[in-house]
Amino acid sequence: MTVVGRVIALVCAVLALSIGVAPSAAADPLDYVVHTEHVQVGPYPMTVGFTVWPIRAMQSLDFTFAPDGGIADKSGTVTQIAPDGRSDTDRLSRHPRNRSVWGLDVHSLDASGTWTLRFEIDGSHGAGTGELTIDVLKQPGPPLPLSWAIGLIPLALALGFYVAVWVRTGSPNKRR
Amino acid sequence: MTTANEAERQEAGPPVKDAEGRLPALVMLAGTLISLSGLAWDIGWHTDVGPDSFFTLPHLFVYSGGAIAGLTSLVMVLRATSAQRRGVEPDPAVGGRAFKVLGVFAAPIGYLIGGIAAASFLVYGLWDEWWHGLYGFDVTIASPPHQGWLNSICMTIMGAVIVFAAAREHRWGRYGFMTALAAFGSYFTITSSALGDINLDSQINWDGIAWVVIPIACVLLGARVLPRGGAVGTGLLNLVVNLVIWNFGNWAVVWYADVQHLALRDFSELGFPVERLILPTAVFVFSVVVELLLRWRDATVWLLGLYGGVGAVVIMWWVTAQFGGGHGPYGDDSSSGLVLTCVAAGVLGALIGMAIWRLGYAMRLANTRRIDASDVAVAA
Repeated sequence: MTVVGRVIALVCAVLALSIGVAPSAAADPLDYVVHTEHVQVGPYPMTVGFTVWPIRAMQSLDFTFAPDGGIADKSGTVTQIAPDGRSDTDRLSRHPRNRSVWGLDVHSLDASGTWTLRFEIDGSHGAGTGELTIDVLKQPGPPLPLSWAIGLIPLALALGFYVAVWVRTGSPNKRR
Repeated sequence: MTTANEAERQEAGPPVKDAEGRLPALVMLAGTLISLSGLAWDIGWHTDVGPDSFFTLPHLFVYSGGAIAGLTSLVMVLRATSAQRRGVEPDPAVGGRAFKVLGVFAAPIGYLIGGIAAASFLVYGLWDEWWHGLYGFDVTIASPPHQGWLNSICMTIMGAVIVFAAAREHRWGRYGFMTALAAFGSYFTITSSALGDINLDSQINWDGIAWVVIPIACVLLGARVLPRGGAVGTGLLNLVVNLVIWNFGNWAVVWYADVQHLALRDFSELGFPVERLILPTAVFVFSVVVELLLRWRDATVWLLGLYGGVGAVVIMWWVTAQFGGGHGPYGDDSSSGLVLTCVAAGVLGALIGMAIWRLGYAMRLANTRRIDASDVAVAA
């Protein structure tokens, strides 16, 4: 096989892999729930599932929210309240890989400590609110300052390059 | 036109053949555009579909584009080195002035920067794969490995900008320069989105400022390197590049999800990417105004600073007042936050505009034959 032929074969293999592999990450999350909690959201009992437990800061997992009786006649929001009080509210949406439950897919909580998930659900029995607290452990891996110091090296080098160019070029106005 | 330009002409080598260096420059540019298209696709994929692995087509685009640009740079450095060993001085219009590296290589500055940054890009890509193994595929621009490879490929694109600036005496060089500049601005704007994920506890919308100032800086750099048509050309190509990549990204997300038999998320919005085109459109209008002003009066350091500052304030105020109030780069439209943000945008825009007076001049010198830039001081 010529070099060109090998390159073409390699590209085809990578393309096939690219088109074929992704579904392995696309399995039904309910098949991988390893821990559940129950929360009463007004008149609606709901099961909250986690595909990773215990949860560590910044480590992603799938969350499933399955109210008794299904989600067909219900709507609502989930608010994630961080240990420092920051909050983020989203509409409850179907999990992309299991449309019979709500969920958050490939999602992480970005700080350790006690988080609160506040649910507000509106349905045939009226509106209700419920909260679930979750203890999130410290992030895995190397300390973040070290990781950021390494990650920002290219930006620092880029800025250094611009400064070096600036200094070595000199003022255009002085050129003769 | 000015003494500076006369000096440049005196230092420039003899005119080169039109096709000299065109193919590798265009291949490098194609690599950066493939990578940028992959990035737009990948962002849409994570926003609207979700599941991920290293082996997805968007990732293939992102990484192969960087690899194409990097390998092109490597080949051109080796080619220049080979030429020098044969006693032929490398043509500075092909990739820029050659620098001696490690005592062995003669490396045209554009390809040198592009190649080193591409190597860094691939190393940070490997680190990113490890990072996702540890943390999963919750994707944010504001992760250390992402910032590592994003900033690396931005420098690869800056290498392409230099390569084309060195060939600006040719039509393909001028158009390539403005296209590469637009690609750099678009990539770097996305990279700067990390500021939006960092809780800076500030009333100033730094994320939005970066989104406004970066493309403005690209327009001013275009004007500085190509005094006639550089501003409006860069502004227009920035709009075109964004129009193409975000529409391609939206189309590709739907197609790829269909191929993978995956559903789109609820509440996905995959129509015409209006939000992505608001700023490029505003920057295009800015570029037209700058082009007209520079036709009326040639650029000076103060004028570039003035245009950068005023342009940043006006665009920042407009996008925030019109589209602010929610999540995203258009930020908070509360009056105190808006005033502070506009002031900060104006100061930063002015400073960068003034800096471009000299940095753009350095880029104009990229195709001169001098080996050591300190010689410039001697010539002064």
